[in-house]
Amino acid sequence: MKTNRQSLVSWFIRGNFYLGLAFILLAIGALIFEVVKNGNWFVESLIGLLGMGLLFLFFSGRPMADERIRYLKFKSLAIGFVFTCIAGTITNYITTYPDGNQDGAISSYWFTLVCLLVAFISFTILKFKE
Amino acid sequence: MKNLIKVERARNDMSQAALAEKVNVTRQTIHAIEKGRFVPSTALAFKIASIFNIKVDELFELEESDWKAN
Repeated sequence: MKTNRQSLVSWFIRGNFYLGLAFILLAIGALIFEVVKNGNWFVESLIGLLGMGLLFLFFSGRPMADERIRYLKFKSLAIGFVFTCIAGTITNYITTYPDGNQDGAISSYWFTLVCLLVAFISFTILKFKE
Repeated sequence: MKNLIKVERARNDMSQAALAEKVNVTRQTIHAIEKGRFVPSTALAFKIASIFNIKVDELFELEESDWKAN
């Protein structure tokens, strides 16, 4: 029985586990290098790289991706998105209020990272709960 | 949705892990289906039924609540 699966979804599900791992190791390595060398790096890009690594890990089919796992991943990603939206909005409101200074606001890179971390945690909980 | 997977497994002397391996899913998925916490796709239901050499409607049965759920 053949199903019409979207190519992008298929590309993610077929596993880019090692690519995700490489992104995370690269981000951690760059972060360590930055701390050791005391360089003036753009931290947001490291967070972005870490987020991308987590994204690839999240959608990789490791250790196995069957239909229940895919359903739970979708559900946990939705939980992560909603949670991060609410937490991000409150954080940004508190940090930018009342002077409107945007320096303390969380960036989209942080948003992605937190969203995926919450999704990972939710997925672990849901896997045992459901 | 009720199912008789556990009964059929016992009849065929098959563990959850063995069935999971045959239909290419995780053991936890078989456990979730048995407990009624997860409704399998049509393809998976057919695969499970074919492992036990029975029809899908002999293995799965709709309940009253399934008509109300969306």
